[in-house]
Amino acid sequence: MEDSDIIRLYKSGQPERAFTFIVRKYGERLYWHIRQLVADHNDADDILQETFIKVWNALPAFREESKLYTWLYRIATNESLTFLKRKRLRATFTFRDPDADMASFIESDPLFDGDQLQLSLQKAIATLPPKQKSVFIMRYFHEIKYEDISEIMGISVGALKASYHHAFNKVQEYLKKEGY
Amino acid sequence: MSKSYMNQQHDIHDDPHLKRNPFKAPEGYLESLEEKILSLAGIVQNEEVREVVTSSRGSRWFNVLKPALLLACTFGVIFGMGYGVLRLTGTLNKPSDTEDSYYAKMIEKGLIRSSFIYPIEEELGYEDFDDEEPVFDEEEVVTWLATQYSSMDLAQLYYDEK
Repeated sequence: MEDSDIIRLYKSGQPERAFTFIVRKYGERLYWHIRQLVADHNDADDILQETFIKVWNALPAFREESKLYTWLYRIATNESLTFLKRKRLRATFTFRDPDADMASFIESDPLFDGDQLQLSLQKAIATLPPKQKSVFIMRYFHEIKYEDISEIMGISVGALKASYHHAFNKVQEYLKKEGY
Repeated sequence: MSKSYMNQQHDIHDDPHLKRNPFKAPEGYLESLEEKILSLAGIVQNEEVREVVTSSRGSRWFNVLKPALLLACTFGVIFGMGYGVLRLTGTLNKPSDTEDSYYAKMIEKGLIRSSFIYPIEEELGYEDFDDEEPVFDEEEVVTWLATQYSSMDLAQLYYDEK
């Protein structure tokens, strides 16, 4: 079902059916987007639930000024970034390195199914600042267009390109240091 | 993937292997995702809603009465336990140590005479104690004694009692 059909369904007085189609179409995609941002499945699950609760509550206020999918990604990304900021703050107060924490978590996560190179890539991504990380994941893994990322993040396309470039160089530098 | 493989791939930009998602979801998680989120948002299928409403109507009275029933059951259990303990210790059928039984025991042992009891009972207000005792008129008693005993016998009886 197209996003426009979902919106039409919602406007015709069937919000529950419309929401069901949104969850069916975007549930898994948003889960993987969040999961790649926060790494931990349980955290991703919590954030995803929170995201859909917000979507359900904010659906009446959706004005079609943006695409449905960029609107959904924006909510999911904002929820994830808020979570990562809080996590970083907690780590600072407990004198821990949040990047090292995430890297060691991925290394020991039984739900991580990658090889050494993929592990190194994930460790490199873990060192990126949260916003840069979001941009990198959306562009590199999901191959979302800059225009859409711009809508999701609320940043200009030019600034996004620069941000992605910085992130990409940092990741490549990290992998070089690792010997790849 | 070996490091030598990557040395050939200087640019990670278009590496399909690296772009593959390396994370797994727990088994069955993605399959149950839709249902989980919909139930979280309070959205259930119409049939399910109807089922829930029907079953909740039937049990509504039970839900209202449940606290009272639980309280009654608790009292019942406590009472039962107390009764059981009394039965086991034999306290339940044991005669109580009232003043009546106390005086009866004293009289039985010969420690007091029964004639001492009545004034005490009067003092204690046991007015109904002798309800069933026959009441004799003084003249009747004198007449009866005069017909049954001689003056000498009565004098002897008086002397013995004194």
